[in-house]
Parts: sequence; structure tokens; C-alpha cells
Amino acid sequence: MEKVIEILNASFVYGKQLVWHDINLDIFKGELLCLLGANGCGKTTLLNCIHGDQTLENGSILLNGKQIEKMQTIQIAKQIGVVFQEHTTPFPYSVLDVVLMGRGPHLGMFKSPSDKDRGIALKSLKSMGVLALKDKRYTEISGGERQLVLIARTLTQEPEVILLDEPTSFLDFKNQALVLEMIRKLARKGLTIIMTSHFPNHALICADRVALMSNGTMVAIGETHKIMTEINLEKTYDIGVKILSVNDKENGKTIKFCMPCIKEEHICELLEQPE
Amino acid sequence: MTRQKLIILIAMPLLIFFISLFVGRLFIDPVTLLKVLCSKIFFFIPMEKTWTDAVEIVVIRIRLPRALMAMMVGAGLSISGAAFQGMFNNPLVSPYLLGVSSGAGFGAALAILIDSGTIIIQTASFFFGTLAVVITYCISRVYKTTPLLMLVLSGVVVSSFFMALISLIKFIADPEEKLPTIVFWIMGSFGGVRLEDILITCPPIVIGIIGLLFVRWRINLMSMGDREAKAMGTKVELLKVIIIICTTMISAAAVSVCGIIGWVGLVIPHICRLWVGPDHKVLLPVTIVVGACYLLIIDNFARAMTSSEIPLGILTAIIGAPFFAYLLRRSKGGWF
Repeated sequence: MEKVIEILNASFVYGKQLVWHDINLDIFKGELLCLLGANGCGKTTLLNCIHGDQTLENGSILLNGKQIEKMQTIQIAKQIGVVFQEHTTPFPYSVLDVVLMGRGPHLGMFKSPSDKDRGIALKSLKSMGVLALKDKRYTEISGGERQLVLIARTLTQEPEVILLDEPTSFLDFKNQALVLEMIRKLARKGLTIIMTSHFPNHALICADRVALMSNGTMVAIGETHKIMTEINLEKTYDIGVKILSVNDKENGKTIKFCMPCIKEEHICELLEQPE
Repeated sequence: MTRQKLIILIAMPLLIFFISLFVGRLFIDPVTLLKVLCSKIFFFIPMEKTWTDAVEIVVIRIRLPRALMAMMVGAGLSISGAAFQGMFNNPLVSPYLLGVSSGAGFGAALAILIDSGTIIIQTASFFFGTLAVVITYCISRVYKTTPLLMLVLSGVVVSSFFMALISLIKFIADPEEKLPTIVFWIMGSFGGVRLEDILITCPPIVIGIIGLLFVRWRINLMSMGDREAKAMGTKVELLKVIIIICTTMISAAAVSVCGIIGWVGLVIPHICRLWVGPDHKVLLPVTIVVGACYLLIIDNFARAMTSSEIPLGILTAIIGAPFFAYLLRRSKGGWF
């Protein structure tokens, strides 16, 4: 398989504190990799290093064989699109104007988008299923819609790789599923995707491979079903974890999911439903 | 942009410009006015002179330069304000944020103190206005970047420093003669504007405006924050420098000739955003026109409302502040 991104012996220092070290990770073309790890373990920092926003202390990151630190902002933006977690703008742009911003890497500093760029933006909105929102104010749409619009914006960049920093945070149950479904759809179309998440279940739902981070290093990296074990997750999060599987009777597939164990007595007990 | 808005944008400045040539104590009928203007524009065509010299002087040497200057300064300050508000992704920012006005005010006060002529006052004012911004930029530069918050805070520091220097000069200035001159100068006025001033002020303001128009779409990306703009392929630091140079040229030129005219650069972008939306690609050209009209109207009031002239800076604040309060209430804190 073709490697798109190679992370070699990478370490990162914040101030004087070593955040993570000796990280080796290859990301292959067309896969969806999910980064899991506790709060503050440096998942976001790793993403930022991949798109050249922050720089490594040691080691290197290669994008299609080229060192990311030696690449120009515009060159990186043509190949990597990013959906950030925190995001505020005081100006109520229309959704289409926001998505058009994704044409940034393809237009000169003194240029404005043309009709062709507008066409690409509309196509991205359509592929995310939010074309109807194009004239709405970006500040007035729901959190789930906003996330889809931001993904559409990175698609407008026409990148090879998309980085998503906790794309499901701040979303309700249904919108989490909707966003994950759309991300899965992008991977099927051949885009390489790296996302971070706080929910191991989201990796189980959609990731091809998983990387587990804890205590400044990688606990395990590999295919989702091999890596997502109780032992690995316990190491990652430092709590008891149970992995359960259920047979989905509608399509005969096995669904896996995980639950944290809490020490307090169970308050709610599920009753067996009579068939 | 609808056709209707486009027509308003073209007709409005022409109409207001023409009307303001009538405003004043000396009444001039429209036909004579047109004749005087035409005789100057088409000077190569011989025309019979049916008007008095007084009329010609009032129109060509007093009202015309004043109107042109008001429009140019209004346009420049408004587009600078809009560009800064986008760049700092904050709608409460004015073009004087980085200390250009206090620097320029200090330059002028210093030149008045040492008894200089108009040209020296304008040059000193332009120089110190630019210097203040350069100092602000240098203070805020850390690790090859200039974080927006650092720029804002350094701007506050540099502004207060030059404000203190202005106070110092006022304190030592001769209270009979020079102190009033300094005070009136800082309040802002188009009172003494001559045709020659237009020629001096025009290049920096026009170049600054053109520069901002070139990067106007990129300001949309900037308003998403530095990190996102960069991730979308923007050379953020270069863009900041371009915007700062353009706005500084404009506001230093404006202040050096007309004094500190506040509120225009803050209020006009808001009005325009309300009217045509926040997309800077459309917003920036619109602020030019609306800003030019606004300041011209205010200046007409300043010179014609009472028998003696009211300093412009006072009027823009008296009209601007309550209007801004009204906009704030209307938006209920959400930014339009």
C-alpha cells in the first residue's frame, strides 16, 4: 500500500515539557485512521504537526516523501485540508462564502474566486448533502450542519488528505452518526482521512485503523478490530473497559462497542425485553 | 449585489458631491455652478465668463477641494476600518488601533510647537504616524509571527505613549497662541484644505485603497483566524503586513492633513455590512462609496450649520456614537 504520510521518530516539546516522543506512524492512501487518547495527550498537537502548523522537536514528518517543514504553506494546503475543533467568526458569512474560502490554496494572493471556483464549492456542498444551506447565514445553522459545511470547505480545497480534530464534539447523538457517515463516505471515495476522537465507539463505527496514544507515546497502532481490545483501551485510558458485541439481526453483522466500567454501583439495570 | 444597490452606489456620491458645492453662505445658482466647473474641466474650450471672481474662488478654491478631501478621507478611513475589522476578526476595531492617530497627532503638535509651516506640520505628522505603527509592529513580533492580540496590546501601549507626549507638548505650549492651534488641529477639520493638499494626500490614500482592494477576498480567510487562514493556503504574516502598510498610509495621510477624525472607520463598515453582508469582496468597495458620502455630508453640516465652523472630529463623534449605540441595540449584541 502507498504511504501518504510517514511520521518518523517524532517527538514534541511544549515549553520544557515533553508532550510525546518516538512516535512512528504511517498513513496509507485511502484509509481512515482514528487517533484515540485521553485529554491532553497531544492528539491535536500531532494533527497540527502533520499540517505544518506546529513543528517537531525531533524526527520528521513526510508528506508523499517530502519533509513537511520544508514545504510552503500553499503547497501543504493543496494536499492537506483541516477541520479544526474550535472555530469562531463574528461575521455572518453565507454558507457558500465560507465554503468558497477553501479555494484559498488555488488562488493567488490578489485574486478572488471565479465562477469555476463557485462550481467546485457548490459540488462540495452537494456531496455533503447540505446544498440547500448555501444561502443561509453560517452563524445561524446548527452545530451538525456547521461541521458538514466545514468538511465541504476542506473538500473545496481538493486535498488528498483531510485532518479532522474531534469532528463529533459538541454534536448530539444523531448528528454524530451523520457526520461519521459522511466521513466514511469520503474515505470510500479515496480520500485519506485522519481524525481524532474522544469516543472509542466512533473508531469502532468507522475507522479502518486506530492509533492509541497514552503517556506521551503510542500504545498500539493497527487495524481497528485487532487493536480495539479491552487491554489496549485500559492502558490508554487508565480505567476498566468492557468490549461487547451484538448481532444485528437485520443484516447479520456483528456490531462491537465498548463501555467504561465505573466503580459506583449500577443505578440502571436493563430488563430483558420479552420477544 | 442587486442592480438597485449598484445604481444607488453610483448616483449617491455624485448627487451629494454636487449638492455640497451649493452648501454655504454664498448662494450660487446651479447653472453658474455647472458653468464654472465646466470651464475648469474643459479649460481648452474658450467660454464666456458670466460669473464673478468671488464665485469662482468659492467654488474652485474653497468648496471643491474641501469636498474632494472629505470624500477621499471618508473613503480611506472606512475601507481601512473594514479591512482591520476583518483582519482582527473583531467588529469593534477602528483604523487607529495601532497608534497611527496619536503618533500623527504628536508629530503635528511638535511641528506646531517649533513654529513650522503647513508642509512641515503635515510631513512631521505623517512621519510620526507611520513611526508609531512601525513601533507597534516591532513590539508585537514574536517568533517570526505577529499574534493579533499582541498587535492590539502593543497598539494600546504605543497609543498611550504618544498621547502622553501630546499632553506634554500641550503643557509646555504657549497657552495664548500655540495651545489652541494644537487643540483645534487635533479635533480635526477640513477648514484649510487647498487644492495643493489634495495632490499631496491623494497618492498615499489612493495607493492604500487599491492595495486593500487587491487583497479583499483574502480578508475573508483572515477573519477565520490565523491558523485556519494558514491551513487554507494563506501567507498570513505577509497579508498582515500588506494590510497594515495600506491602512497606515491611508490614515497617516488623512490625519496629517485633516486631524483626528474618529468614528468614521468604525461606524461605516457596520452600516455597509448591514446593507450588503459581511463578504469583504463586496464590502470593501461599498465602504469606499458610503464612507465618502458620509464624511462629505458631515462636513457640510460642520461648515454650514453655524456661522463659525464646528470641528469635524466633534461632529463625527456626536453623530457616530449614538448611531453606533442604536446599531448595537438593534443587533442585540449579535454581529450583523
